[in-house]
Amino acid sequence: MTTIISIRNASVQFRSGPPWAPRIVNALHNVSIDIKPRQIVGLVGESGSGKTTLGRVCLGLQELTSGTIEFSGTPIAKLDRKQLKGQLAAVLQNPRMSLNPSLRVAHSVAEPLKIDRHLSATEARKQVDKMLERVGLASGVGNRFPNELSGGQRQRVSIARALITNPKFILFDEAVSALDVSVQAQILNLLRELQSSAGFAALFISHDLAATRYVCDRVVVLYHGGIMEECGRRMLYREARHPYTRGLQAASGLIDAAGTALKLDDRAGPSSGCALFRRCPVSMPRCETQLPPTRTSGEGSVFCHLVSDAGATSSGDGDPISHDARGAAQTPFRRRSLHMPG
Amino acid sequence: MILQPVIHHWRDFNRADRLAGTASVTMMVLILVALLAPLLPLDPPDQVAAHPRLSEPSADLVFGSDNLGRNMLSRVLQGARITILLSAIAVLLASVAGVAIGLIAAYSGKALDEIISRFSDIVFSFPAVLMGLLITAIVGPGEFAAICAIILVTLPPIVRVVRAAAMEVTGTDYVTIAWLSGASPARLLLVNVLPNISVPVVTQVAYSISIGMLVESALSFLGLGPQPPAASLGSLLREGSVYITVAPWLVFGPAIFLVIAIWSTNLIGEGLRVFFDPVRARCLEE
Repeated sequence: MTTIISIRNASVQFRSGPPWAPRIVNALHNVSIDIKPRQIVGLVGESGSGKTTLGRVCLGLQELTSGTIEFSGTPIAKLDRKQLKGQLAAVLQNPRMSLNPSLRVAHSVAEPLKIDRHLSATEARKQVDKMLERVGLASGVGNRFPNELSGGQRQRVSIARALITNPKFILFDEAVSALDVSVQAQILNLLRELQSSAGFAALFISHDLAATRYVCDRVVVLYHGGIMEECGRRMLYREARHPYTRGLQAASGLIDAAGTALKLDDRAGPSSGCALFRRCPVSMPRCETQLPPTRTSGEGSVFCHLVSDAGATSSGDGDPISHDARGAAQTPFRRRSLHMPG
Repeated sequence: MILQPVIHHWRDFNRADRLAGTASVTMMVLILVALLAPLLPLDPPDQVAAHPRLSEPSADLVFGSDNLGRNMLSRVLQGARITILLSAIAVLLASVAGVAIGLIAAYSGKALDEIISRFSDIVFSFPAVLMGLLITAIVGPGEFAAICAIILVTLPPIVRVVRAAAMEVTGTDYVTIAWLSGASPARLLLVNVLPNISVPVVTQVAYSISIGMLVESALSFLGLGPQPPAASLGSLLREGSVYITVAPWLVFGPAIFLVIAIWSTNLIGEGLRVFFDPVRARCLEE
């Protein structure tokens, strides 16, 4: 099965400051991700972890400093915009800014269709009405302007616009963060429903772990531009192993905070060691000087000294590591019940 | 009635800024009177010796008569027509060019943007009258020179406003998404950017019209605008200034007309800014 998006060792650096004293920010560092057809990959991490940059990379909106990105097996740099049209779409965070305020909703939704297929106005309108109905909007909504719609309605319109050309890949960048909880639930349900019928692949960026778990097949945890952990959805929540993932879970109330909470430290991580070193609740002297090895087990991989040590002491056949083997963390790992929609 | 929506919008506009509402009506009346002057029961503006020379203002002769006995009111209305018309034509041309150049600068970025911006800075740094003198030196005095001068003076600010507004809109999510779906540059700019920068552009154009009238009058005052027998408000002021000690009313007519026209246009510009202010719009929403 070919992958839709394949990113290999991608790094993105941003330069700022004057030319004689440039400040270099590593927004992404050596990231590799595969997104297969019909697969929704979740991307979680705190603000500034590089989630949005990675999303922009997937759409070809951000050039890589090093590494490669392929779309359906072809390097995206070699593809023409015209070849890609209708294949990529995005639903972005701010529903206020994602629709052209001077176009009626139907016109906005029809735009990708008109560009892609050169349909007549009536033909396009027919498809638009069908799509608006599919995302749960009344047909009259098409004649309104975006400022006459609520946030949830606008986000549905954005989703309709993203789906109208039946793209292979859709980026959802914090697509539900700006909405209130009940609307979030509706949109997430809609997303799952549409995904199973339309079968697109997607990157779902969020800092809401519960939403990610509900929607995604696989989850990638990003910190400071680097991947900390990558695994199947179920594994992430039952058997999260990286201290950062567990810290995020603790922060969102999914597990007990005791012993798992991340430290507050704004300084950058050591240049040669683990990026999380200063904030990790269970860091060891080795973390400061050595880059953590990749430990792959089952359906995921994790980048942490502690986990790789624990893996060495456990059966070593790639099974998920037992709780006790987490050693230094020594925290009860109780799952709290989650109230998810659907 | 066709005027119904116009009146409706004017009411909203008037509510936002009463001074601007009044100014818009005043300007409308001035324009109508100036345009319809040939139909009004007045002496033709170039009829010599229609009245005694340099007669004082009276009920019959509101602005008096000039040194050749022409009715000053007819002349002022004719002058106003030329001033307003020249300014409007020039600003219209400047707006079209300014919007196109500003959009291209904002979209192209880097080198072309830098060239356009620096060039418009250079043009902007010359005083308006100096620019007018330069152009008359090249093309000779007359309406064409006046129009060129107004365009050169009003173009740089329009380019700047369009460029800044377009750059802001270009960074928004909906433009990114349109680009992603494969929209051509023309489609991006005309469908997604242009309609969303209309507010600052319209406001700037309103200001430009008043600047245009000022520039035209200044050039005509120096004798570089429309040549006799055609008259504009500026050339009437110059003619009147010769007799200012014996017949001061000769400058009153054109001066009053000019002041009211420029003042009203500025107030309308300010009113448009207030009317379209997003903060005000939000206040009304809440």
